[in-house]
Amino acid sequence: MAVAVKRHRKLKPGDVIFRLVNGLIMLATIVVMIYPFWNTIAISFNDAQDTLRGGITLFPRVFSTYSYETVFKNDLMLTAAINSVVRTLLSTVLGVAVSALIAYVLSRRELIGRRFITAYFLVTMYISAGLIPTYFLIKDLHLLNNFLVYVIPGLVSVFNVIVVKSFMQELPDSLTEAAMVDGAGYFRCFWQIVLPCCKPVLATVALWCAVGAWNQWFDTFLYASSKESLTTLQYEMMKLLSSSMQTGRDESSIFGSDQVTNTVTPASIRAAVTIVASVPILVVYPFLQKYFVKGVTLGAVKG
Amino acid sequence: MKFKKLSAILLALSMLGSLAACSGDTASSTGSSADGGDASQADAAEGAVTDGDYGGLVALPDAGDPITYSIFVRDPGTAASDDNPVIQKIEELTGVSFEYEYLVGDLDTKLGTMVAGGDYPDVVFSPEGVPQFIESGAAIALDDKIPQYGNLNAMYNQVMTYLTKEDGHVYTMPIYGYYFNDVTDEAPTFECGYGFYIQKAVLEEAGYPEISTVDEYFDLIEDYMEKHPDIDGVKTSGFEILVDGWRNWALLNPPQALMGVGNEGNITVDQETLETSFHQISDTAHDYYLKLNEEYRKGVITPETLTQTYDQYIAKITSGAVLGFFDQNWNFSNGENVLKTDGKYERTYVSVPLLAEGFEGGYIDKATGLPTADNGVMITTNCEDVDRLLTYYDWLLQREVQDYLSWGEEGVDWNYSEDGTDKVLTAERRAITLDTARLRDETGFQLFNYSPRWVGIYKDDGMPVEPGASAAEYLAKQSEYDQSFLAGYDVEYPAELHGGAIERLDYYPVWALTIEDGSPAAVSQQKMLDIETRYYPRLILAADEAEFESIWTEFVNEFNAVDLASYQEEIDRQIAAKMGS
Amino acid sequence: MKDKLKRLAGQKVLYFMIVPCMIYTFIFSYYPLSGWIMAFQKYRPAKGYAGSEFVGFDQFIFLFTDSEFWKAMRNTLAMSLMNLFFGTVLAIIFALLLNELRMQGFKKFTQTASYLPHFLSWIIVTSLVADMLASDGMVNQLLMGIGLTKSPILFLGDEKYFWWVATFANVWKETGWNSIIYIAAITGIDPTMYEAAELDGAGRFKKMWHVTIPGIKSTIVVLLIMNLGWVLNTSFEVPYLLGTGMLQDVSQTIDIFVLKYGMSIGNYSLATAAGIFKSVISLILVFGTNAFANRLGESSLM
Repeated sequence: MAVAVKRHRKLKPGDVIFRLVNGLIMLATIVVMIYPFWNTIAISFNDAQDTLRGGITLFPRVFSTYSYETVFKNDLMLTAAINSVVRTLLSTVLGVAVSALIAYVLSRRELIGRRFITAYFLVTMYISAGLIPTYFLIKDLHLLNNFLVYVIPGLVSVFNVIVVKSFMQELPDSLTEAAMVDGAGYFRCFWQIVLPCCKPVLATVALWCAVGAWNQWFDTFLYASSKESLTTLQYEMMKLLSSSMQTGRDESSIFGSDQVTNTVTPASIRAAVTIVASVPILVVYPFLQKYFVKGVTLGAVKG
Repeated sequence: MKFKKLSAILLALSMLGSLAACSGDTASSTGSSADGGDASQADAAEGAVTDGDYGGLVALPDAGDPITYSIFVRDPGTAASDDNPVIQKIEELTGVSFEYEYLVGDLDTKLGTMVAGGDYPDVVFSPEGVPQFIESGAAIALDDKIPQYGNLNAMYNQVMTYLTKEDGHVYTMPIYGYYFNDVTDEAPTFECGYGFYIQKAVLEEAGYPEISTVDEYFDLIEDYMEKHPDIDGVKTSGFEILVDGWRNWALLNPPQALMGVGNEGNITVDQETLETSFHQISDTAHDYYLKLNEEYRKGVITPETLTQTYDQYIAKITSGAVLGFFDQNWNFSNGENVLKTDGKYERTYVSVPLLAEGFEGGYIDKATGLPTADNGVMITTNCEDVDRLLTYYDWLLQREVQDYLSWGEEGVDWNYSEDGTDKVLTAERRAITLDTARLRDETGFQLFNYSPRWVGIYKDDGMPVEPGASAAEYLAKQSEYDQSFLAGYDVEYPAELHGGAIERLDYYPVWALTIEDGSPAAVSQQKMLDIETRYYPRLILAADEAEFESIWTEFVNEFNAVDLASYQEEIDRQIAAKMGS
Repeated sequence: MKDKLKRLAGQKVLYFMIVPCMIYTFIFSYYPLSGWIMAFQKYRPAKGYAGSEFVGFDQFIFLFTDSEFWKAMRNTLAMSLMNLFFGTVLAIIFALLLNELRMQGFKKFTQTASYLPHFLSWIIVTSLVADMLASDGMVNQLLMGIGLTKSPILFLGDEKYFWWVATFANVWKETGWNSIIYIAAITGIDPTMYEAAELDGAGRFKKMWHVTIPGIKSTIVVLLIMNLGWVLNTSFEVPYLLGTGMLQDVSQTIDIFVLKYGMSIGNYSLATAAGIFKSVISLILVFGTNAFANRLGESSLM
């Protein structure tokens, strides 16, 4: 909060113009950035058949909540939501902790073999064994149809590690040196001095972890799709979406089902699914924003 | 990476999409009427008659001992609600229930990991996966078992040789399409679901002409466009061509269709000599795209039709201002349904039988009566009680059970037609079948759809197996406008505009032949498609005829540079094998 | 030597922290690489590694001798680099401008709004882009309204626009999201630096240039290097969803090529071979640029 202090300074005309222009640019940005989401909301509340006519922009033309009813009618929604929340919480907490830990070690310049260890992690960002070998690994570790498959395989994100590490390296050396001289060990130094200084970057990494874990559906598809109790929200949403695309595609026309007047359509379901699946995670960011206020870092150091 | 999911689905669909064919069936009385015609009695297991509201059903003896089978279905979908009364009833009578896993994401990925990891369900319905499962020894041979079950035997005994794989065993029980059997005949085809579509108003205004060439088709459209530059305030569009990812048939398929060989595939087979040739570079293709180019230059075809997305295409159709296009019925029916809701029946579409000069044939395939492409359920080695499952499937095939699943209860869900020769749904039940979610949750549709079932018309009393096969039900659904439209042409069903169904050869169609994964033939096939989708739009948008011809030459050269032989030889080999020469 | 051992002993806590993570990484990242053997086989899931036929370098030869592959390579590089450049620059500009906003509520709201598009799937964003660029869409109406063009431009039917359309779609969707890390980095700058600059009489832009940008430079460099390693992986959805068949020459990327000729026809080996190729290129790029950055005295990955 330190910097939010008002400076008593006369505003120059240049400042006024700058602020005005900047404010206008930001307003325009808001409009451009909100539009797709707003449009999606409008479509999600519009009658599915009417949506096919196109041209829905800011508001629903024929209001309907049928798409949402379809989404929530699913028996598995509650299970899916709980699994998604739990996996997101676990992945975020563990992901941030592990990233910070590795980053701290790699940021210690005195570490023997530091270049090798950094490279050892770095390489894994750019190599992938591929689908089938990974599947075998998961199977051999008995993670198939096991909740832990949502947490363990994605635990270490080297990208996050590097980002945190470079942030830590920017911290003044004096910070830790003093503590080390005072006899604090590496771990205490990490826990009590380095971590508090890294709040902004840890908040960023937490956001990445949370959004990543929340949006993940592919692991459910590959490793846990045959166990209903392990389903996730994104997977259920994918299921809904793909089944809405399927309608009418059968070669057969049994039951006269080729004539079905679709009460749901891919476009409508997609819109409702997007809103249902993204709103819970959207609330995370404003919560984390308080760590993005200037001065937090050094305020903590000095304080 | 996060949003890879949609692309995965699109890709998965792209593989199926180009395959979906016009599998029109037509009335016929083929198939020997062997004994066993009354299958309902062939294997009626002993057991108590239940006191339920459907008393005709006889419970299986081990109904008290519940068992659940897992089944993987290659289509995306949603399992029926647990409250589904029909499925509950069947579970009560048999003790058997299913846990469905529908496809989410990419099918090949799913099958690949399933087979590689040995982690598969009890039952699999996925034609694409059958060869892999057999190769890894995961499929159970059924050739010794099927004959032990009366109804299953009645259903498959005439086609067992066609189900038998090279190793001498049968692994699948087909569930789609009509094939020769002891109990049913083919149902009539009511509509042709494939081809050149034209708005009914155009035909009506021209006095219901019979048209058979591309020139006549575009003449009608041009005339109408001239008289009606806009329709309901929207600028009239003469001819739309949708090319959006896997939905590319409107661009690629017409030349072959104009040759009268139906939706055959990436090669055209001479029906007499069995010689294969590439229609893509034929004179018919040249003339067709030149015609489109002329129409483009006249303004009947607009360039943006080639860049539009599927949603934009459907939106255009809902406006009622599109006069014609080439498509498959299910692909645009969403848009057409909006027109119906609006009461604009004259703006809906009918397919017309266009052929290129010198070609015979048509758009509607007569069912070969032979199963194709592993289109059936397969039981895996993970299944613990195979015999009980087969007993169950056999039980489902009883006439009473089939009627219960597909029609429901007499008086409540359906009635006999006035002359008593057919069945029609009640209005309430019809409303249910027109709503995807209710159809799934309130009827036996899902169970019926993914189990061995009868197809067509029962031989013994001429009744339709399910509502989709009922002529009375089809006519009951027609609007007044449609009835007068059909009267204008003096036909009973739209399909009659196409004349008769065409008898195809036993191998038909080429797209259903399995090309080995990763083989040179598969690569060539992909290359051909790439080159076509790249060049055809350029041909259509050529500035003049000279430019068209030079692009055409370039196209033919590039097409011929593909390793066509490996594809052609593979297809020739498979056709020869199927034709038993 | 003795000295080193002593240092090592002093660092045992650090090793205690890092070694389990290294073991974990070995299991999940290095161990499954044995599956790369597939690239030299004609792998069939039903037969497994042991039963599949060895074909040597056939898969690589297929890739490298196909002119379509090199075209895809060019397209991938072009779109990725445009993306990386505009994505980074705009995200930084956005973060800088946002940082200048004084009203905290407006600032938070702008920031939140900017990252909304990230949560929409590509299919939603691309269909909006397609609507905008249609012949009766917003862009054409605008261009015709101000008289820049007489007839509508066929943006999605002309090869020369495609890379720009793809870049635009990416920027629209991800700028807000990408800027988060820069906003966090700006937060970490010591406020006394600004005060010192002000005392020197630095104006707004001078402060941005001399304090803020240097303050986040290490973040920028580190992200650029890491992202550079992924240039062959990106741009999959946009070309797939917006690239009509007639634009294949400029829209097909390596990933689409591999999907078409690999996964979609059941050729896992090809996909693996392409994966190995991409890994090699990525590692060369990353370690190369990293060494380069080191030589320039910039902060780097290691």
